[in-house]
Amino acid sequence: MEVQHDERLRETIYWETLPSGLKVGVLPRKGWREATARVAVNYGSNDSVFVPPGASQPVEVPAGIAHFLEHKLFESEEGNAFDRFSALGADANAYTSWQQTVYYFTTTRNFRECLDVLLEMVQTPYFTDETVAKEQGIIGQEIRMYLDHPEWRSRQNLLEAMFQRHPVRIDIAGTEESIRRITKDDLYLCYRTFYHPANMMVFVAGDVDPEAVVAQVAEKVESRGYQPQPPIQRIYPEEPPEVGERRREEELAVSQPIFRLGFKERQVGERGRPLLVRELLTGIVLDAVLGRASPLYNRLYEDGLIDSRFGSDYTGEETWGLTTIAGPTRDPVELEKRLLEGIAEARERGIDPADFERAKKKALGRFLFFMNSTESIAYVVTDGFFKDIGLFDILPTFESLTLEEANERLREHFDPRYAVTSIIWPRGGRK
Amino acid sequence: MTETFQQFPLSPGVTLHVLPTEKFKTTSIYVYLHLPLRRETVTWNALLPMVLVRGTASHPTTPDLVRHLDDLYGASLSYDVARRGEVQSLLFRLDLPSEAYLTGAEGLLERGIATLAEVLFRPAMEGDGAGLKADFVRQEKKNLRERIEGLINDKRRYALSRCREIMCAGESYALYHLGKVEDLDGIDPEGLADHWRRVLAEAAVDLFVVGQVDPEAVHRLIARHFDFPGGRDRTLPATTVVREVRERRTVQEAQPVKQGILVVGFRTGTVAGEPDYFPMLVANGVLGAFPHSKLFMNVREKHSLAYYAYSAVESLKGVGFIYAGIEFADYDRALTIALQQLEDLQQGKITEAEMDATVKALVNDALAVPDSPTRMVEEQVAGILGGRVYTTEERVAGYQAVTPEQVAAAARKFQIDTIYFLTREEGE
Repeated sequence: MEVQHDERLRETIYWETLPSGLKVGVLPRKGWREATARVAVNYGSNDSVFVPPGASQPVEVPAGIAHFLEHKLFESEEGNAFDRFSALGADANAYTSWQQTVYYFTTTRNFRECLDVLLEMVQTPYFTDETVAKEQGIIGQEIRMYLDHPEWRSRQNLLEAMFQRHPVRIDIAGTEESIRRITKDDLYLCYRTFYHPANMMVFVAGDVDPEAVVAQVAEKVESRGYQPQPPIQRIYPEEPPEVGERRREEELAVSQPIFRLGFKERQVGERGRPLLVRELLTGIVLDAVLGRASPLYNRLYEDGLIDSRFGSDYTGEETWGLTTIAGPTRDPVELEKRLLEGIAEARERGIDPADFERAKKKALGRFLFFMNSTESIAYVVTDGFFKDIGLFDILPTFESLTLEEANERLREHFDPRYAVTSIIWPRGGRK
Repeated sequence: MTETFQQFPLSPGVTLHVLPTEKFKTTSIYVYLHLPLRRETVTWNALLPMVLVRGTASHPTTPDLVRHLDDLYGASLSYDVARRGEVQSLLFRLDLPSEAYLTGAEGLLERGIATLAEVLFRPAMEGDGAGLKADFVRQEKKNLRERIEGLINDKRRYALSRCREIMCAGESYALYHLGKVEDLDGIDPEGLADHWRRVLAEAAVDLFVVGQVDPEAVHRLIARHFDFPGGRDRTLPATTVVREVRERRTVQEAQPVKQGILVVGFRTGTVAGEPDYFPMLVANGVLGAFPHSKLFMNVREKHSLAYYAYSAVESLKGVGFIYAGIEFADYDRALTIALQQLEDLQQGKITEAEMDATVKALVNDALAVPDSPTRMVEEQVAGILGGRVYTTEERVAGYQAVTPEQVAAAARKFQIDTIYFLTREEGE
């Protein structure tokens, strides 16, 4: 087993690679009542065009299928995995992102039995015409729910406007129309292509014995005799660096406009440390330029254009990325103008060295706070895994960053030519 | 096995609770001010923390205060306004990294405690202490107005809130815990300063500290920095429980929405601390708290009518809500199926699997509480307000002792009060 230890955080992760290619990580936490296990699949809503194993030509499957598959994997011929988790007293769930599908449970008891259920569940697909039809009704309501969700709509509109061809512009759940086209054969095809152990990982955190966990996973998975799988060919359209549309607006039944400004990432194609550096530098820049101590934030706040719900963040993936700056506002047009002016000014002036040092000082405290939650740790480990970013890389990388790098990032990334604005207006309240 | 808080009474109605533990890498300090949820004060109370966290006497602007917190290794200051029964609780909270994980940070805990105390006792003021800083008051009034009006943006919360309002009309429980927009014009910096002094003098106060600390040392630090004025009555506000439904109401409201939200409000007939308390919680569990519950299994899994279908109870007030997001045309069907689940429960149609899974889920939930400082503190607060603090063991034993007959009996006290439907507008 590979042992990663962080002396300052006083935490250790044990890693093992099984013959099938499955990676297993365990973070033991003495004295914690709740343990969590996650199975992450390197497969998300972005992967809708691919070459299936043994085939020579790519296929395209309906949008939303990764998420649909996530729902359906809970069912087997014998029944529903939710029932089995319930009978063990565990809390189980799953989610699908643009690049991952993650199945997990948390429990205070019967950890071993729960882990068996989780591993069986992801290895036994069972789809019939009836169960597919039933799920179309349920996911149809899930999609409808988000149509009334202003924050969700605002984000979706931003992605659609920003990206011209990349599938991140398509809703993770698909559309009511696309999910109606999903068949059980499509589901089996996607399952066979992506749910190979070499394309998955298992992570466990809690008061458990790493050796025992690894042995259990090996027993459950390796006995199935998986044949080696060549790398999966995923086909992504070429995304130009330019944004698709400068702005996108929509009216919804909301009390006040919701504003979102995005900057498109143009340095795509990176993984591991360079990707992490870019992510952390963007965070420092956002804090220095738009954080709660910044003059720009306070001017906007005092002028009543933003409130404490205003925030910004950066998402960096291998094939796409963006910064979003968002919040409800009384005047999105004015807010957009002031933000773009403020950012332009900051790009000229650069970051105040004192702000940069403060950002570094608070990083450790914030990281320790985050380590209080086993679930947060599990999320960060699984999210970083296929990008080759480890939990213990984050803090040292952060501490290695320099002011010059931050200024360079500010000037390079926050270029208004690559910005998109998304506005949700109240009904009839458009200016 | 249970982590036990040590209590230190500071003055009548003001109690410090300390939990020393090495489990967490942070120290969390919580100050709860419990106030009665009342029409006259609800908006004033909600506004107060928003203004107080903006700045203090020695950090009189927000950037000053934020920079000060950043220098405390990224300490984070937050607040919350919550309704618990007919109590409006204001929470002021500070999270600090534990000194054990830092080098050269001696005295950090005291600096954190002093900062939180300053937020409460020495706000940024103007006019020789006559009023709170006028800019803060003006800006936060606007922010609070937008928060209150913004309830409509989250359709599920909005529908639940409307159902509560209609069902509990005439009870203070009907009040939205952030208050009413119409009150805001009448609030000025001087009035809010007077209100602030009254709140500090009259609220029942519970302080909690969780982390790698020495309880006696924390007691000394808190006593040194937190000086709540004495001499006033700080009794915990009470909640009036309504057990009988006078008249069942059915209400539909229209908005330009794409999904309908069905909410069924009911009176549970049981509140925390009563003999039926655990059976009532299990009854809600069998009905709709989990993915194995009747509502989820029938409304969603069997009939494919919804993505979510749940129930929740508020055990200090003795009310509960069934809720689901559905197609507009499925209203009658979804309502019939949902009510059938309640009826089946009341008639004792509870399978062994439902009973077993529900008790296990509730036990699992109780056992996980000590993994989170906030959940432990919230559990204490709920217990204090409900008149009885349960230990984890008591909770687990309580759930495990419940029989299916007790569940059905507790469920038979559930009385449907208000059926609410948020639907689309004509012609949409």
